[in-house]
Amino acid sequence: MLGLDTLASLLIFGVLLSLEYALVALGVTIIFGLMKLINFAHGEIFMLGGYIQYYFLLWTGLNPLVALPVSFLAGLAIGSAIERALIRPTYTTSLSKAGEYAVIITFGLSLFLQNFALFGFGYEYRSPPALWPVTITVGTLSISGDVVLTSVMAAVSIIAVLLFIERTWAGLSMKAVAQNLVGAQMAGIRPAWTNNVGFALGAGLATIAGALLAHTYLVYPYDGVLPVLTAFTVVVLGGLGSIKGTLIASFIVGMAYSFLGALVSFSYVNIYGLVILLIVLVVRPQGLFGQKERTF
Amino acid sequence: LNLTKAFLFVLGAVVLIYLDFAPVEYLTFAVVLCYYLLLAVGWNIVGGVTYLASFAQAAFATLAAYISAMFVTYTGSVVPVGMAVGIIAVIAISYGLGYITLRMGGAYLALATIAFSESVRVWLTVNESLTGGAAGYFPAPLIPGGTPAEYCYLFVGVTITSIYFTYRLLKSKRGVLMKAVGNDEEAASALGVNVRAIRLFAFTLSGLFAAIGGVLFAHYLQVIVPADGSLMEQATIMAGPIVGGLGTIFGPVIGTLIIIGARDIIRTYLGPYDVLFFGIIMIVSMKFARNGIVGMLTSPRVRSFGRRVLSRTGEPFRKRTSATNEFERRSEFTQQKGN
Repeated sequence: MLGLDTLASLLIFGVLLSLEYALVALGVTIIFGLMKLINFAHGEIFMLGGYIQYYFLLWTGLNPLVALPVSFLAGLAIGSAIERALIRPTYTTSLSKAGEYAVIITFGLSLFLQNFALFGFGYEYRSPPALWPVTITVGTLSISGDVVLTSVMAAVSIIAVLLFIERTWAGLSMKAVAQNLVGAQMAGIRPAWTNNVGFALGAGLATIAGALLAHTYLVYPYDGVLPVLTAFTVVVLGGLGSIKGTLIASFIVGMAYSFLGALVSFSYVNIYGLVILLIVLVVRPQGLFGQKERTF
Repeated sequence: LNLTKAFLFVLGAVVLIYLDFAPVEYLTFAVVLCYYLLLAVGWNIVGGVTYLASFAQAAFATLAAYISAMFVTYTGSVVPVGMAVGIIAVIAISYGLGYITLRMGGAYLALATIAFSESVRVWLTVNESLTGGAAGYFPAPLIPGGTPAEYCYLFVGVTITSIYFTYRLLKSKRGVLMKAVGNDEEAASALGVNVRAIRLFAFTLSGLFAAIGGVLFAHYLQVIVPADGSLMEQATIMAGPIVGGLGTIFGPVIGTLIIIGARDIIRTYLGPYDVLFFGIIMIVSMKFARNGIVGMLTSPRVRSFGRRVLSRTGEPFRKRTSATNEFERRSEFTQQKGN
């Protein structure tokens, strides 16, 4: 029933989709791995990245690729400020129930940012100029250059972040804090510093994803909600806090969306995520590569 | 019958009699307030007492409303039967969702409920042939030709019963176990509390409250839209207990009263900035007043200030207990001995 060219196009679409999901989900994973908290405002930082990209290009008229580092740097600043102002009490003071505090405070932040964008930037759908205005044709399959370049840039960003974590002093100390907080502190690493860097990096990944996807999708105040839901699915599927798990899970979810969307129905694409999430929680609660926590 | 109970009784009687003469706007406001009170008190059981961040309260209410309304339309049964079906279905759904997600820590429940509520909203919007899509669905009225006062009596009655039930629950053994789980799940588990069962109970109970509120409000308003289950609504529900004081019984009531009142004032005089305001108020109260209004009123500093005012001497007023008497008697005794 499936022709070979349809299969090929679904595969390619799936790979492109999974790179985009991996980029959004990687930020959530880094923040969870370090601080054991879920940043519910991730989607709104993603949305801000889209607006930064749009307005920067509107005002300067530069090449979109030049604007990407600007979005990334803005994301670093936003993330660092949020961590400093709101998240720091969860690990510096002996706050009871720090996790729930963080959930409510980041949820409040996400509402604030959504409505801030709604009244600050308006509810119109906006679209920045094309990233690479060509159409690539391979056999019977044609893809817009935007989608291809977005996925390439996503792959480049993911590899850069992995290199940062594996090869630099800051990245290694982040890894140490994620593995064992007390051990890292005894080795002279300040968790306040690594957490700030990690949160900023997560937010930077969110803004760069928002800026990249702004070219393919549209920019509007609620555009971060659905990508970040997919990212949450990916993160749970891969195991909370595991970077390897996140990358593999985003591949699985991207393929599932591509094939289920084409074969079953495209309208329900965002519900497949919930179904996958629930199946994973039934079969393997800690996710593919997560560590089994003590449960009650 | 002590003085507080007598006062509450008289106050209740006066309010109930007043409802018959009150202007329609007040009655509508009271019904809306009762709907949010039901949802907020239910959310407070899971979010405040057992301290689990659940985002599915608005989605449960909307789901119950849709199930009830569609059951009535498609089977032609009377409205109360549809309401019962909606409530039972949502209890089953919340039990199942809790059963799956509560095996892991609280972060998983937060993620799963946020995905659940968005999925419900998307499913209700996409499935236009069945649910009417974003334009909404129109349930049958609960009381055909009912006046606002009749609905108001019903809502006030159900809400007060629910609040009283929660009050009794928190005083009961199960309520104490729930508080223990919320304070420190490891300590509770070490003392032999079945943490997972208690959490599941609290989550299912919050689903029950949401379902009751949802079906009543749907058949009162006679229009439901998928956006009723959005995260914005969830924020409105959560803001009340957070502002009033999580885990207390009067905190969510006071907080919801303030939040719903403020929402009406903001929407009337400023514009649609209510959710923006709720986001800010959530952050501010979680950061600076984690125990809300009730926590502020019962904090040692405020209490000692109140006692100082009451004793009129500027000295902190000490409550005399048998221990105080005993201490003074003994110190007199030692002084005598020294002489």
